Amino acid sequence: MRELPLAISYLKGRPIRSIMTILSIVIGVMIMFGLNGMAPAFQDLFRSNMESVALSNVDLYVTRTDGSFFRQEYVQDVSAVQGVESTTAMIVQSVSLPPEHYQTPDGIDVSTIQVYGIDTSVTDEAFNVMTAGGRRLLTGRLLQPGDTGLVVLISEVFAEGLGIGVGEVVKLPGAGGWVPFEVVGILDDPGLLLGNQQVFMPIEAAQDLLNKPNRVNIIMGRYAEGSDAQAIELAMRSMFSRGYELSPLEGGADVWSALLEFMNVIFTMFGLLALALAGLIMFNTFRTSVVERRRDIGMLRAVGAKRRVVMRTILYEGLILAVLGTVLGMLLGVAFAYGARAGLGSIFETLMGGTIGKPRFEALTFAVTIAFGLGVPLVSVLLPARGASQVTPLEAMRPTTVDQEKAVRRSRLIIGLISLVLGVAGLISGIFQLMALGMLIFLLALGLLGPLVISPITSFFNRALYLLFGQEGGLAAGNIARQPRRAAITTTSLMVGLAILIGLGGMLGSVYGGALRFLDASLRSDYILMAGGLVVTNDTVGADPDLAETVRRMPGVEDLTTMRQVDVLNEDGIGVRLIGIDPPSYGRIAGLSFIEGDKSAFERLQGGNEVIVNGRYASQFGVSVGDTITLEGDHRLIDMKVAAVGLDYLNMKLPTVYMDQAVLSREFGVHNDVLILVNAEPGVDREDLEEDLLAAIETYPGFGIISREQLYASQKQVARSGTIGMNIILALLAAPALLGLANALGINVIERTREIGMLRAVGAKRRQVRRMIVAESLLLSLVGIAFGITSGLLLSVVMTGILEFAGLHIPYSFPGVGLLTSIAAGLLCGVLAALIPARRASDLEIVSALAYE
Amino acid sequence: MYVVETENLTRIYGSGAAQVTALDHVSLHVDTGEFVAVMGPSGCGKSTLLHLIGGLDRPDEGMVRIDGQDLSALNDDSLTDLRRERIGFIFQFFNLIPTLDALDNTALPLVLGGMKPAEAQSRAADWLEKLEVADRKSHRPDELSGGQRQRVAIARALVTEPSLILADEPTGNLDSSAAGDFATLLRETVDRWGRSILLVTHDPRISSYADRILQMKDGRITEETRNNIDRKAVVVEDHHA
Repeated sequence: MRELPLAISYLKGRPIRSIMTILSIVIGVMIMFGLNGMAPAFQDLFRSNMESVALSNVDLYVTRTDGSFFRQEYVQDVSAVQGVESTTAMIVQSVSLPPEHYQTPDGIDVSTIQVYGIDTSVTDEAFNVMTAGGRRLLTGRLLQPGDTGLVVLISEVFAEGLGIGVGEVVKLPGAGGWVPFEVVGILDDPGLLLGNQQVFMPIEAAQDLLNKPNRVNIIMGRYAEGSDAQAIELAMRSMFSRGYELSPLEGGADVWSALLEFMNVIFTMFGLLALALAGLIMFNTFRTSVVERRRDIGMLRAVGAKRRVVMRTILYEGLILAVLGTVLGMLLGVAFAYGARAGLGSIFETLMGGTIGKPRFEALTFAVTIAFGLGVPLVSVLLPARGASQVTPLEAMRPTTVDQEKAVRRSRLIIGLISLVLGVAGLISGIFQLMALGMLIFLLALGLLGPLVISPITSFFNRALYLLFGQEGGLAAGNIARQPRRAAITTTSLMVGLAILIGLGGMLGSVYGGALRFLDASLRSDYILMAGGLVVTNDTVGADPDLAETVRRMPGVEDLTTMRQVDVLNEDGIGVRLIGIDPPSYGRIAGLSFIEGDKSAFERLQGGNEVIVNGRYASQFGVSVGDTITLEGDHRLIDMKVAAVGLDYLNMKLPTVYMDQAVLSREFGVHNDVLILVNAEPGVDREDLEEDLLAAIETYPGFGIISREQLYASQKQVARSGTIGMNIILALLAAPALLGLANALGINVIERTREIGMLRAVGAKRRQVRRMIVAESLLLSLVGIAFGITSGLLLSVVMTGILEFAGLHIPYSFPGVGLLTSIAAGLLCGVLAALIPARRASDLEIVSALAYE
Repeated sequence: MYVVETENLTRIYGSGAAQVTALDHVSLHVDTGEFVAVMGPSGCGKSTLLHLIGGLDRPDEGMVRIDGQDLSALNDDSLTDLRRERIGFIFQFFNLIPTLDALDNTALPLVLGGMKPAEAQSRAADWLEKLEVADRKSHRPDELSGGQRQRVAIARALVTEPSLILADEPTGNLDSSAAGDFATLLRETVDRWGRSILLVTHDPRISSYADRILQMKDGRITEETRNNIDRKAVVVEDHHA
């Protein structure tokens, strides 16, 4: 442990450098920890409805992995399996409520009703269904055999909120509008989310309410005593395809879980990028520090320090900074997560119709953050530490020779070029994990190749600097040109920071620009009637076809089309979204941006055996026009031919199949409309029409109307809010770059203390020294900007191209504003980063500077 | 008028019990074209004296005049100008900028003074020629021998045509042969180009080239001796030629 005091004394001796290095780690850790702390809250938002499903301890659950409905007859098939003693079918389905419709006594909005449809003819008490999963009855009665009508059990808190008791009526939202149910019993409160109320009703009533005749989404079974559970499960497995879950209840919309996973990966990527930058800064800091301390290290070795003592000292320094940075970063990460929740909450409420819970930091998040927070810096310090331990006392006293530098340049060029090729290969691989790795390798390549292009870029800006800063500019340019390695170390972090900024910014700009274009192509009706919101899930009940008929007959309505939806699994067991359209009217009113094929595909959908897939589906499953895809219907596998590949705005992120509504209804039992797109007659009084539309949806809970103008405004608002959020994250990513530049400049000044002292001694004024340092910083920034922009643009083109692999065919938009912002930000970085070092340099006392070792 | 004149020059470091009087009421003068060596044990105040005369540090008491100009009356910028124009420095560790070649290192004070680089380089080249290191002008310090580095350092000190050269242990890093060459060069600087030199050294062989030797102890000048050097043997060149 004798190295520890040495390490501490070095760090204390360079407080500014230590603080800035810690800050760079803090930012990386903060982003990683904070964003991952938010992830569980997002997961809760999606999955809250599935948490309370498990009613009792039974031997067998049959659900569809995607949570969708299937035929009730299957319960008889399960009963017929030898060894299964009893079975029951059930419905568990969430139904969203309009905001502020029902509230608990505490004023909490009941946003979701979880409908439990129970087979009241069941006699096996093991299922617990008649006691509502073992809940205590407070007043009234439980459901009983023979109950098939509109009767319901509700919880005490819900009843109190509504101000009703047993025998009174509660209106529940369904596909055909509000349905009155008689409350026959009141249960104790299950202690679950108050905004998510459970109601228990006969299965027939639930099927009517949801317009799901003869369909259920859970079958439960109990085995006979002494039966062979394995044999039963084997028999069941042969009966149900891969799209069914046969044991514990984990069913959820897989499409959403995939999206969540994707979000988690993105969050982690952001954190990793920030940490990679922090790692780069640490690597640079320590590498410079080792160079600067060459003589010290030589002296240490000369007086008897072994190689491992030197190495350990440097590693201890890294460890101390990493521990401090990680702890502080995690603390700030908590604040960041709460701040992001406050800032982004409204966007998600608009999108999802739910509220994001408090950030939650799970053990895995802690483990991953600590591993990376300590690991990245330590790995970054490893090479410089090893380099330091290799220094012999004699070498330490000698300057680096030209030959040594040439050798370093050659190996840099080779490794840099190999990394560049590997990085680009990873980026265009189309496999997300490889793409992420490719990005890191690409950035590493930039860092390695940077020094080799410093000289040409410097001479390019040399003249401008001379004009701006006179002799000091010339001196600064000379300093940089003659020390390409040091200059590269200084510019690398800015270069990489800007490359990330422009790369991500360019890609996001393209996505937002592209999204609005798709919006124009696919949702261009005058009005959209929607169930809950634009984001539709299997929990969206929708409206039976009566609503569309009512609207169609309305005066002033020229045309309309409806959309239905269900998320299911394809033959590979991967979640896909099915959209049921009415092809002729959909082609007239909505439409798709076609990538392959054209509008004529709509006609072919009516044949019943062709579909249109979106770009995401086509790329994910490698299909194109003319191929056949297999989907798992609720009672058989269906082969459908791909008639075209096209995109719509709402579903561009998910693998989606568009088919005729008749097919969706026949094969998947989906009869309800979730979106109704309406065109008004030209010249009609819009206010009258809007009033009529509002009256029509009044009885359809959760349904709302949005006009084309409002839709555009709201989507732009969402895009803007999203952009602001992304910009904050991008700015956070840029911050380490600024710190890195300031850090490296600061080190430069420290390293050149004696040189600056000599300059002052031979006649440089304080102002001249200041100007020289600022000019140097600006020139380094310009070099960083030039290289950062070039690689950033390349990165943004590649990243937008990556989206193509993911099926998002988005035209590349040149990030003009982003570029100007980056140039301005880069120059500002340069000036800001130079302020402290320039002041320090000009304030140096000549005598002590000359005596500086 | 003397090139250098000090009166009661005093410099105290630290305070209280840790207070050290590095220089204690030192008065001296250096004539035009005179070579003065200051000798004494480590810590006697030699370097402090040099720093104060060079305007690198400010005295606690007393004053310094360079060519009749009182340094205490000058602000930082004017002091810097005076240092650049009238004083040339030669340091023990050469203090050349490692990233500049010999020519640019020599031209540095001129460039700092605002002279166009081409002109500054031309004048620097002249001095490198005079000091017989012109063939090494494109080499960086790490490509020069110790003696060559010291010649470049002298060229840099002389390039602004200063009246005074201050040299702080300039041979401390040289072997005895190079140190001898260097001392000859300094003597030549005085005799051929008419400069005044104030040199701090430990080495009696170097101080033997000086006209006058000041012995210091505990911050005071304790002894002054004159060397008998035949100056008639050398011809003073017009240093502006």
